[in-house]
Amino acid sequence: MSRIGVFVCHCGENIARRVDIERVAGFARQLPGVAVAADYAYMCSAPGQKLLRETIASQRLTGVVVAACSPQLHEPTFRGAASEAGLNPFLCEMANIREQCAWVHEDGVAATEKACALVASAVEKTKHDGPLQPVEVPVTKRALVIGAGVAGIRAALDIAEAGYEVTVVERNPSIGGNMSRLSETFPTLDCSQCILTPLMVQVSRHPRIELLTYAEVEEVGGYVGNFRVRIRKKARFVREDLCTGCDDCVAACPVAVPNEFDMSLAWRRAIYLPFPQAVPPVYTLDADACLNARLTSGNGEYRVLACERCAQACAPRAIDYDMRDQVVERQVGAIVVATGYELIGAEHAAEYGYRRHPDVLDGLEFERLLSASGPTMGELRRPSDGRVPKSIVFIQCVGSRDPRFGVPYCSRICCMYTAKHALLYRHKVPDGRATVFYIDIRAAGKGYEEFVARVMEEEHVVYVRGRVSRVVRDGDRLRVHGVDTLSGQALQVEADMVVLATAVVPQQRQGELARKLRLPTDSGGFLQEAHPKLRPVETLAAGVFLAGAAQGPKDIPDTVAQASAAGGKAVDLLSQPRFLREPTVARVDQLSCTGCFDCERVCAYGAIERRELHTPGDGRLRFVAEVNEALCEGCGVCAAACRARALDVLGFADAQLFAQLGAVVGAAR
Amino acid sequence: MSAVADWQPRLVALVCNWCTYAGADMAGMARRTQAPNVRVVRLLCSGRIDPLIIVTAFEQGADGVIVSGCHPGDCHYVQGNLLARRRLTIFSELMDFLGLDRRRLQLAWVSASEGVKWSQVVDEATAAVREAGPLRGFGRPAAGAPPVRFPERPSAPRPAPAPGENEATATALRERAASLLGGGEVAVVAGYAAGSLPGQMVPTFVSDAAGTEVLDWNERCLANLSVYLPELLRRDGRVGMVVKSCDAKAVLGLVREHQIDRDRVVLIGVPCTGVRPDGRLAAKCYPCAEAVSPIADMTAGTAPAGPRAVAPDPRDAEIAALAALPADQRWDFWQGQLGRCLRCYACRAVCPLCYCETCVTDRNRPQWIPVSIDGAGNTAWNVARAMHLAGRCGDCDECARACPADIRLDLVNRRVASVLEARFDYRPERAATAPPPLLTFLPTDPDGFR
Amino acid sequence: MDGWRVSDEQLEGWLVSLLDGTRRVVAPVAEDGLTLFREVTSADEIRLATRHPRTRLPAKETLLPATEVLFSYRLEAGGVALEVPPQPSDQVVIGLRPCDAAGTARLDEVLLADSHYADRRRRTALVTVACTSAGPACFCTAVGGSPGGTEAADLQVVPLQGSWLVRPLTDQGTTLVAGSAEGWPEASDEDWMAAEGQRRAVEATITTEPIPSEWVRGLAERFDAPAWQALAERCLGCGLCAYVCPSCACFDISDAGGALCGSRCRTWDSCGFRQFTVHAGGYNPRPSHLARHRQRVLHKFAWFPLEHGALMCVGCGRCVELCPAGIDIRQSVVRVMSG
Repeated sequence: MSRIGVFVCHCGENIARRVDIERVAGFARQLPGVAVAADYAYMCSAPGQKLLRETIASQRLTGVVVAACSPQLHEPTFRGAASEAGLNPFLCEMANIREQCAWVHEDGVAATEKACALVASAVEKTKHDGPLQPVEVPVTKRALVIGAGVAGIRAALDIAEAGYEVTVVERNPSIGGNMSRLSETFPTLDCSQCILTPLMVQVSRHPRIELLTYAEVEEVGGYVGNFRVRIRKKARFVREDLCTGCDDCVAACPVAVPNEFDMSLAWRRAIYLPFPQAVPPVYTLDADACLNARLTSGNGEYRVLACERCAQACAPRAIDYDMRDQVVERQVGAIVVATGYELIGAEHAAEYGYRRHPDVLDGLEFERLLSASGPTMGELRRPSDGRVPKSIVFIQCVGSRDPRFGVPYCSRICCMYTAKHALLYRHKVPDGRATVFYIDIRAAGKGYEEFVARVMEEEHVVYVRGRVSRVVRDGDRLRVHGVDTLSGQALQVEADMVVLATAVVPQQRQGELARKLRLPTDSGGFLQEAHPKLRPVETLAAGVFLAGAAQGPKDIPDTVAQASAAGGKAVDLLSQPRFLREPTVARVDQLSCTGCFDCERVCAYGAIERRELHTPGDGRLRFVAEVNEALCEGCGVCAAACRARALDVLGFADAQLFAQLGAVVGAAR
Repeated sequence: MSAVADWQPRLVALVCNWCTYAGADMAGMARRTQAPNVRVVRLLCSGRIDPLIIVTAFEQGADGVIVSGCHPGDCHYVQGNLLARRRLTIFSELMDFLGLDRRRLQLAWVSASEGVKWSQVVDEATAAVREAGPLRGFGRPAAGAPPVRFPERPSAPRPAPAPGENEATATALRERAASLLGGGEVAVVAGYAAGSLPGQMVPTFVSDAAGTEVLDWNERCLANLSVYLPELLRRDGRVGMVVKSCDAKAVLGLVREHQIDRDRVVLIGVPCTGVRPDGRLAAKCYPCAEAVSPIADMTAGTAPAGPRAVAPDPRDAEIAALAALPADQRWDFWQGQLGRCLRCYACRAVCPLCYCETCVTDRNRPQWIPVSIDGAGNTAWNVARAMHLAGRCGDCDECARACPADIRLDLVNRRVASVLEARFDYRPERAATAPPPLLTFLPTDPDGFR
Repeated sequence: MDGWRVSDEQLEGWLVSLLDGTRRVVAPVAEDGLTLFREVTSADEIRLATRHPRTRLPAKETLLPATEVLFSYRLEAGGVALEVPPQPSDQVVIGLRPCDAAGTARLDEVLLADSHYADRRRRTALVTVACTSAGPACFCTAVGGSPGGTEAADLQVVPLQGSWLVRPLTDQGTTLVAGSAEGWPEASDEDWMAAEGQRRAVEATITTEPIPSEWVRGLAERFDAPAWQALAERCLGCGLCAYVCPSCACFDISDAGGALCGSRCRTWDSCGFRQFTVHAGGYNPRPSHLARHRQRVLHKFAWFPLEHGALMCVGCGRCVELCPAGIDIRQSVVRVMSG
């Protein structure tokens, strides 16, 4: 038999003004299973909590109901007090007679009646409460960082510096990401390579960082603290341990293909280093382009040639045509996702002539033209004829803020990098004319507004508020048709080059990774954080954290800040001997489970596992569901999907709901 | 009950912890005065709400129920509310069909910041339920309720098969079965044989080629043999089964729900012109265009060439007649029907998709379905049955055939199926490729929530 | 004097007199295309016509309600209030077929020891109507009954050539017609002989062989007969056969409700259900369809007759007709004895 103590709080006058406290306590006292009912002016005060603790001890209570304010406010307080008195905290429930009763009803009689019903409901729930222990999950002291742009690099370094092992997986042959493509960075105009390269080297040399480049996450199993990750190391056909980076192979290679790193504005060989500062400084043989017969190409083309020139040229014999993809497995406790961004495809900028006129470029392409290590060695020349452009039109919001043809959101970085582009252009071509078409200027960062103002005022860049309708070829030049919405006049601008600030979108294959990690994405396809304000780097998958543009467009300072935050969260998790989770999780009555696995279909967390069970009696072997408590969040969606009601949620159990319903509709009769 | 003037509506609100409960707190912090008739029961997520909990609230004495959770897209648990939206949409349509006044079940999305909206929901729901009055009791209505007049069934679109046709099919069937058994492809063949009553055909299980003589086929082979599949597969390993196209959808369902291994079942399709219990073409056969199930592994005899005559399902006109009645008349009709339920569970026993180890009605902690064989218990059971079959029912109508009290379970199933089709574009034959429609969602699903 | 021969009008006059409000009257009525026993308030609802089909369900509910509240409780200020249902009122059940009345006699054997049943039974009069035809599943003659049988009846009505023979069989039956029978013409010996002839004619249409009395022991000895296996193969484990049976008496008792109010009630139960015999620890002595079907057959044709002398089957044929799997209890008996 339950011995429940009911404590009715006056909350000064807050509750007592409306609710007849004595009646509620009297009502509670005669409920079956209630051993004692008391009232106090402020239950949450020190003396109130003392009353609670002492009564638990003196009355040997098996459960406690505090009728006071919202559990969202003081449930932890009273559960803590109960715990101090030796009662399992989950045997303490609250009846919300303040926010949802006294504060919203004027009729004292009705409010009192409702308070009685709410107390009866809480008492019935408490009767069916069982002691619950937090779910303890051991933690593997290693983190995985997916993506090694500036976000992944920062997060990896922070975690490693805190003393934990880190595995970094980068899809490309080199780390560095989009930032390594940039020329100079706003608003300080630091050279991007100059500030990034030291970090890249640091990552590659760090004793606690394992760097897996040219590798992809294939499968993620397990759960917080205990992820099992399978990583495919793509065959680069060059042995990392032997390659000296001498470049002899490149000289020997007869095949030329566009260099992705240079946004295809330059060529590379089939065997290549994407850029001089690449980390690791190891060459990669592009199987799709190589002519060697032993290579299995991704596109499965039949090869007739058996070129082996690079191998012949390689003195240290680092080239191995028989190398194959390798799958390695790593156990990690935390995962940081830092997969970055790309720019929206050309189809969204057709009216601007993108991909039709070689001199219409997007932002990243322009960065490569500006870069000292780029295809033109930093000299600004038109891709079409190599001439120095005397007039450039920059168009902002291409695809961004365009729900009909592009994406609805603001890409956040374009206003700034366009200003930077215009400035760098003016520095490189002092007599050049720069015109920027914009909708609004969004320069909400430290020093940003000043930077834009400087570009407008000191660099003589013409800012036109308005949209561009189309870009047409006019001889060897381009003609930009637009409208100045401030004057209301249509206008045409002659240009030698047009640079589009195209929208920032997630990496194309990020959705695939999100599914592997069971991460939800937002409407733009970016990874969804656990809470937009209060948990910006966590995700709904415990133990998985977000850094950088994978979560939404952001500039370098914000990216680095979030990366450090994600690293900090990961360190926080890894530093605990055991991870404690809320025990309000789903549980399966396996004898009643029929193995339809409808629960598996609705679980957003992949917390349902299959397990073989010998049916007692007839010994039938069948598959039944089992809840992985480390993954379960306790939402109970599985329970609603379970026809046999083999699934229930601890702490919010079916029996509790039924008892509560009986109390709330029965009590007032 | 005291005088009607003293009557106060009792409402239960089932709300999620993260949005609506916090929204209700917000209403309190803003001192938004509201009707005192609503009792909140807090859950972690609206996706956790089994419609039976709502039925229980009504059965326990609630006059109205509010269900509220996070706005679509805002679920704390990613997708719980989107699953809830589908489930509750079907449930609320089902309850409407059963005659529950729509005002008694209110669905609303309320976020943590919408204290004002919550107080409006409370006030408006209370006012609506007050207007609707006390919940009418469960149970057979007092005598005097006018019987519902259903439209005459139009004549069948196809004639009964000629005796020779049946015999040809039966001969081919026996040959097929004998060859499957003789060749060791299957250990048993489930088919039909003459029963002990005149004209009756009953399920039979043949384990050797010699025994196939008893197999027969005609338009009185009513039973859906899929119900025997899981047990036969456990016992005999590989099973041949005579299948009508209506029965085959249950096979798809059993495969989808991991109850049988399709590779161990050989489906022997029979060219079927429709079953005729009592000599009249069954309603489900009117619109059926498939003489032989498309998923059959072989056909006994030859399927007729070309399309065949079909007609609208006559049950749709019957459903329309019921739907056109005022809710309280529908309530009377269904309480009269359900009042006859004996809880013999023949409907459950014949249903291929009712395979649970322990049925919810046999679970007693808590007592999901009242044990009492009366209005409340029978309503809860039949709502549970209909909801559990929603999106899974293959429309074989076996439940209605088995019911000794002739309860129109076929109309209930058909109504649910038509809502599923209209709202979520789901049809039973999609069981081969689509997930069960209540276990998935689209962000753009139609929404009756306020 | 055995009884009277009355016209339609006289019979109806009598039925009207029964509906004077002093008792509950239960009779076959038409409902949604079915004929079912229901409490009636006017004589024209009653379907007593000579050729109406046997009611879909027996009249068992009039004596053993599907659900019967034994007591209920409610938490009130000052303690828990207990409430027991009121005493049953007098009732007359009109229009039972002889098999259904015989079924009541079997219920009596089991349930008269129970006060709830006994209270109701003592206040109930049974009026049977002799059968003038047999349905395809009827087999009363095979189990000791007859289309003109009078077992457990208080009053018998025999439809005969456009009029009705009315014969009281007990004091209760005599009381039922006491007021109306004055002025009714007495039935002649020829009338009774004609009724007898009618009975024999109906009996002749029932082809099921009578079950020999030695089969009672024979079945009991064939508990392990291999034939059971095939007989139960089709069974789907519903409770229909027991619930449509006029002589099945099994029930379950359960508590419903919570801390504030609730009740204890008795509900029908069926040995066809898997849960029927599940023990608290999970053990089930009858774990298979075989075990459960065998129990049903042996209870009716072996255990019950060994204990009470009569078969527990009255041959109404409802289970045969309504079983969704087409199981025929007659065949089960014959196959076990011959297999």
